[in-house]
Amino acid sequence: MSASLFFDIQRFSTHDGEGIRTVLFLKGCPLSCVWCQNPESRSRNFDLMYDAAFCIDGCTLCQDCCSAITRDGPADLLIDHQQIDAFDINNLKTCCPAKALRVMGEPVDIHAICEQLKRDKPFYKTSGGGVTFSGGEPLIHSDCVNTIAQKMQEENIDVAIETTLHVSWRKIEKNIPVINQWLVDLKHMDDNKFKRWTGGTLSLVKNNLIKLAGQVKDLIIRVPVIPDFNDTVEELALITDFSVTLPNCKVIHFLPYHTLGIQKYKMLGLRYQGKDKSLDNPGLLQKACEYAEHHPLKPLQTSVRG
Amino acid sequence: MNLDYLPLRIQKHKDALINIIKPPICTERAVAYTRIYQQNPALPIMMKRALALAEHLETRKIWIDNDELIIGNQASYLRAAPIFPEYTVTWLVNEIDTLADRPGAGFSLSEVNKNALKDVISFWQGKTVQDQSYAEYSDEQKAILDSGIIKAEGNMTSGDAHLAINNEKLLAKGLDGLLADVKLQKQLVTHNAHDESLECTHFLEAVHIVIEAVQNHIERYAKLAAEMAHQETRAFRKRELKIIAENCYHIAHKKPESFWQALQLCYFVQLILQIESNGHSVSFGRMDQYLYPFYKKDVEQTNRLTHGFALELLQSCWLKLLEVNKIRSGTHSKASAGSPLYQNVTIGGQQLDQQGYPIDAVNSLSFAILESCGQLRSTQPNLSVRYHQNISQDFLLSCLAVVKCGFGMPAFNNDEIVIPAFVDLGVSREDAYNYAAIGCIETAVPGKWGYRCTGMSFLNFARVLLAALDEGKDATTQQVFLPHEKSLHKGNFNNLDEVMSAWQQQVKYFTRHSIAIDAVVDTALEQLAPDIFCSALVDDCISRAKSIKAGGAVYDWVSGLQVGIANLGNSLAVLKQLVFEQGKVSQQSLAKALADNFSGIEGEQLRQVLINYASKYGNDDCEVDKLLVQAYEMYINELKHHKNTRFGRGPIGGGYYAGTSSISANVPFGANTMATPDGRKAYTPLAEGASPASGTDIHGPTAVYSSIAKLPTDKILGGVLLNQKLTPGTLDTAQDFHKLSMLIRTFFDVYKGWHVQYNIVSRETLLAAQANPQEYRDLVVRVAGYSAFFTALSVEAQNDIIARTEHSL
Repeated sequence: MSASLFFDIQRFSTHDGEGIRTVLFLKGCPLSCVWCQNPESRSRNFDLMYDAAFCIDGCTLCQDCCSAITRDGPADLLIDHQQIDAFDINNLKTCCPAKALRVMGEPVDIHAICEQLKRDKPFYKTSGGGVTFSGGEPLIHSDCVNTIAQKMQEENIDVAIETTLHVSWRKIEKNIPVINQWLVDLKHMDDNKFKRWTGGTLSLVKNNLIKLAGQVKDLIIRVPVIPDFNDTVEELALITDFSVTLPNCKVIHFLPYHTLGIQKYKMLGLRYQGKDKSLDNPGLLQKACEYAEHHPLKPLQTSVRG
Repeated sequence: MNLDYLPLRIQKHKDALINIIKPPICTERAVAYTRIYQQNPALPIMMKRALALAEHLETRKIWIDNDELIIGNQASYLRAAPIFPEYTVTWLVNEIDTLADRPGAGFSLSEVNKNALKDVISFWQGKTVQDQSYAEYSDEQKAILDSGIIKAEGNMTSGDAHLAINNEKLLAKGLDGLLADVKLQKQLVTHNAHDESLECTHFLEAVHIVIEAVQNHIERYAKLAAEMAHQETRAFRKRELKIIAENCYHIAHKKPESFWQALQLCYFVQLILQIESNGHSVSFGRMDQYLYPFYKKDVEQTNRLTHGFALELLQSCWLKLLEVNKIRSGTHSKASAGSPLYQNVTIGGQQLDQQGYPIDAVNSLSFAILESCGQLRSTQPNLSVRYHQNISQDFLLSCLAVVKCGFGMPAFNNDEIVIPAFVDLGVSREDAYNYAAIGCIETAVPGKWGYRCTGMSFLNFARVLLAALDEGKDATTQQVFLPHEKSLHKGNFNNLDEVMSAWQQQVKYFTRHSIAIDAVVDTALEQLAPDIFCSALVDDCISRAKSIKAGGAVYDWVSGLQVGIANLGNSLAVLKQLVFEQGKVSQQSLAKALADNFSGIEGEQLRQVLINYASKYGNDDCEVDKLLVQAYEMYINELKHHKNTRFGRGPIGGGYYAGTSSISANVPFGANTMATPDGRKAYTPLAEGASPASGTDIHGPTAVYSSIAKLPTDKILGGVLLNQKLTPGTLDTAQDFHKLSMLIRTFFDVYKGWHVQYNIVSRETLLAAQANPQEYRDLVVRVAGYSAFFTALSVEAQNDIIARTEHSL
């Protein structure tokens, strides 16, 4: 197994848990959701990302060091992603002056990362924030998450995680003691539809979630609301019905589908299969919230963006 | 607070003001002053100045318009700009025929006025502050000024101001009370003859004349209001005009009794200060403190005044502030985008209780002022909030609600750093706790501090660095002011230390010259254009019987403005990391690229390497932040050795400190600066204030705060300006407000930040406003230390604002 990679550390994040937070984005995800807006997070390996807007007209530095790259028009590169190997990646890391061509992914250096994550500690303290693990699916790097989270706990820094729970229970279980808040994606209640749109196995998620809910204090269910996938009152209600049965789950977030990451597909040489329009259905979100807030079994707190 | 309401009369008055695109020029003041100077050539300067002001106040056109509740006009027409020939007429000679065509700063001038102005010009040529300054400069100083590395145009072409007068005393004594003090002092001086006694007598006599002139002037308004009341047919307005007339009769002599009277008296004084001199940044100080007793009595205890009408009075006053106008030379207008007057009102902060313990000073008037500004959304006043650790969350969230209105106010200053720094400097504890923001973001003790706590000459740090990197040669003009041996193009810097010592040598040289230049201008201002009325309202001018400029103020520290702070740090980081440590870029190739302005593919490749592969200030990166601190401290240490012209003549202080509230000077300064090693192209804007360079702060506001906190902010008392732009969606929910409030609290409590202000407006809105200015006439943005109407800015200044990184919450 290769070393864990991360692709971003985002400070002053305010939508990924309580307060002001720093988010560590780890690379690699077992799912392949059609609507994913972080395509650079999916592979566990390095990705090559190209943004023509920054490319210097007439510059040939990347072509000179990598034969898989050719020029297609004055300011557009043709990259044969299949042909790029580890040697190329290494050469390309610092090749592009403009960072139009970027190697996404950096090996995790625990010490350096912890130093970075600690930088905003004063802001965490006043705002009730902390550190959040995100991805990809951070728990595929469960050892790495565990070590960093442990160190954050020693610093009295709050730790949250955004996860699909689409991993073996063992990887989840070992992190229960070091993570304070669990933000768990629950995308659908239909096995087949889940499989078709994410490539994953819903029962794995559900079983993990049921076990987890019995053992953690702070659990938030997050539902991406995706056109044609789950954007009906009924489908969202089913997810809510399941959520209210989870002990310790008091909050549900509905995250409307957005398209902010679409251009990243092109930059990675991938084709985007999802819709090109963000969800614009405030009525649906309002109904979903009302349903959850007035659920007969257990009312939940709601939010439409997390 | 209801921020979505604006009284109809206020809305109409505002519309009338913001739709004036090319205001006229008013020659009344220039003509009156010229007449008195011509008639009395032999009189001492103090008497000339007093008589000239008195003559002007007696003869000028006065009017009351727009159903305003607070009255007083600066010039003959709405938003007309008066001319102040005693400071300069040079630029007027050059621009008199093209005033209407200046981008973003056009003025109309009738043929009659043009002819009047020509007579004025011919009298003043050779006699102005600017003329005397130029006569006294050495050739070296002239060459430096011509090069633009140091700019002192604002200082020698206008009055000083940048202060707040003692409104508290004014309200407590009334004008008769002040006059009584002056009369008493006159007797003391005559009985204690010594070397300066004649000048002292002149000064006190001048003050006597001026205060009486001001009283007569207020009575002129009283008469006008009474006449208008008589003519008026609408019952409500008739009643208002009668009250206005009574108020004016009363405050012309006696101390005010009501909130309305108190506010009107403060406005009259604010106005006349700006008729006596055209120095800008005349500030109100802590208005929520000294007006509170009146507000409390009228609104809370007797119900004589409704809360709504109190807001309307304040708003009427704010619009009267917006009417005050100033014409600057074409070049100087670029550094002061949007013709701002920076009339600051400070609210919040702390006061000392009877045992001397600090307590929160926020009161119901603080909220009312906040609300009145939030409703009005204008550029004046420049509203500042004094933050402190124990400020209530309720008040802080109310401030953020006004921030959300998107006109860049209020700005926040931090008691936790300003007060201890003032005490360290030698300011008494009571005075330090009473500080107020002046102009943009700088701070001083109202009524006790001399002119220009900031606003002395400007120094272009980026050009000084370029000279340090090239044998002392200025890249823009190719002149060598202070030669040395080392240069990038020779490749003979052996290490970063040698670069740092070249910087130190150059910055010391230019600093000394900037101070020498300041001394020339200060002397000319003291001799040719002393302020009488302004001095009368600043302690201890009356008891010392001397003007502020002669050393009358209790405190007198000043600061210049340093431009290109972030560019300096980022350039040094490039040299350290890419040139000396990694060897990725050679000295010669860097020199060549800078000389060619990064032309060609190789030039652009190198430029991108400089931008992307070296640390940038504003990202909490210790390496670059440390370099900047080291370089900036070399400047600060040099400053410590220098005094201003008041040293040893009375005031505590008499020295300099650093300051970065360089208004929008980063744009014209950048336009005269060649390419810099941080990858900034020639002629493009420099970084603003102490903010990171545009687009380089990629780790969000917490990283910016951490970087800025590493600066020696307790020594940069002229202001550590940090501008942050937030998009409108960032304050949607209560949670967002909470998070932003916590961000501010942490920045101030933990990082001891000095100042922060927010521009909440979307990039799309700005682009749309640039394309269709007519539809966005009322869009206010924060430019630097102040807010301006976006459409009134030059395209370059607009682009600079658009380019600044947006942080999303």
